[in-house]
Amino acid sequence: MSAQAPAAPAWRPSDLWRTFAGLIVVLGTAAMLLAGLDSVPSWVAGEPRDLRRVKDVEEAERRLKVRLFLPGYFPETIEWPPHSVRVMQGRTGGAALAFDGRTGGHYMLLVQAARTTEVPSRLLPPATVLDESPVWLRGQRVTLRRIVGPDGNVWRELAWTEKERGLVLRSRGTVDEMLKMARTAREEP
Amino acid sequence: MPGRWADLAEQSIVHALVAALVVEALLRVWRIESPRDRLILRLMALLQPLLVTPVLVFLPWRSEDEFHDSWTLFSGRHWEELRLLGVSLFDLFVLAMASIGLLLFLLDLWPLLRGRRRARGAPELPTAAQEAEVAELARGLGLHPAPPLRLLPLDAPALFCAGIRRPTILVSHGALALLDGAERRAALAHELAHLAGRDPLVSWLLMGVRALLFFNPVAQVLARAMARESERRADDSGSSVSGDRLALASALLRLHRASGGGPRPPLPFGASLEEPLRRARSRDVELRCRRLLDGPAPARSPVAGLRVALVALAVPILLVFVT
Repeated sequence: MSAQAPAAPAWRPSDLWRTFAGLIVVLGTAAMLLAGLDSVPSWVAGEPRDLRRVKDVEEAERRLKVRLFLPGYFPETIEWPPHSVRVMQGRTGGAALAFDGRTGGHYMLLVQAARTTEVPSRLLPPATVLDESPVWLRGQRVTLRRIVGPDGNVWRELAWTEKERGLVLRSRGTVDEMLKMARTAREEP
Repeated sequence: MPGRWADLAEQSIVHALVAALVVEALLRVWRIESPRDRLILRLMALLQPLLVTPVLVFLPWRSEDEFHDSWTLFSGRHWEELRLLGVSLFDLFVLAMASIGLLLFLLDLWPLLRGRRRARGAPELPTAAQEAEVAELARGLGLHPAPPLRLLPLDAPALFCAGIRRPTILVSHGALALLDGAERRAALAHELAHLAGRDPLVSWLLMGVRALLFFNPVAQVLARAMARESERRADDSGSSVSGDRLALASALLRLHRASGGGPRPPLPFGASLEEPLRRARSRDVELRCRRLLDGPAPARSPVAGLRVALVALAVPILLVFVT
């Protein structure tokens, strides 16, 4: 005779119900808690969960699997490398490169879509448009705007399309400087 | 390649934490009382960092940025963006957890190594009546042949089983003098139940797993919890043969009090840890006694096998999305 713990009674439908419902509740709760915990760093940084700050332009290109457009003409008034590189993943994603001026302060923002003509709006800080005018860029009619940025300063914004990819350049520099940069923008080799 | 090994250590800790929390929640939601069922489900949690994590870490598509950013529920890489004094918070968390893991492992390894070196004296043969009592209890537990009983010439109370190939029950003179007939019978049945469940082998295997995962505090805690469950299982099986749960509770209390909360070699970390550990051991004995006094052993769940299968399937799937 072997005296072990009492044998299991026959199962009832309620056992099955409790088993599956309990598993779904626990796994669902765990998944929600994990996702919540994962969103904390983005929340602390004040950015959406799918928007990541990366180390440099190379990492942005690696993540997006595209070459980024960079201006061939780069005025000496702007610091290189960019002080921040942010990336939004996905088909409608893109990258935002923010540059400081050599005398300090934010000077330029270059935002570009990775695969579409639509620049991801979440990569562009909100701004109020003061006025806009058409300008010609390599035979393309594009829009030049004067805007008030989130810092309260007046910036210029130039939006155009290059190889079926949307680009927006915001700068505190001159219009000539912006157009020259836009004209020389090419995919980094 | 060193990056992969660091990933393995990090994910081992995170996976063990997630698996343990899921299993502990399921134990409560499913109201599982049977020590055997609890033991198996906790084993499922312990196996995740041991078997599942190494497989997942070396899947190439799981380490890609797109998977981390678009598919994961939780990615430690995202927490690396938060920094404190130039060090990522996630790295600090992993370092703290690894230190706790190592401490917990050493806390149990040190007494084990010291205890094995202590001389116990040559064991003595039992009387015929004592051998007959063990044989009768062993038959009740399905142990054929009955394991040998040996007496230790010690005044300190000691009663335990040891040995994997030739399992033996060892009882000190001090324990025999301390316990009355019913208590001795209940305590012997408890130790025989350990042998019937191959617990000496299991405990060595668990120690091996703990050594492999020495940096993982969750694995250390899970292994300790499993050891406690195997004590409860032996309480239930043993008392079903001896027929007296009250006597086993009484024996436990007597042995615990007489040993002053458990004689252990001094720890290398100072006396400050002794008191909390002593209290933890006392609390564990108290809980075991309450269980024994509260009524008969809980029955196994009729859907225990299904639950184990579901956990074995669902937890690794969840962990695929935790990087």
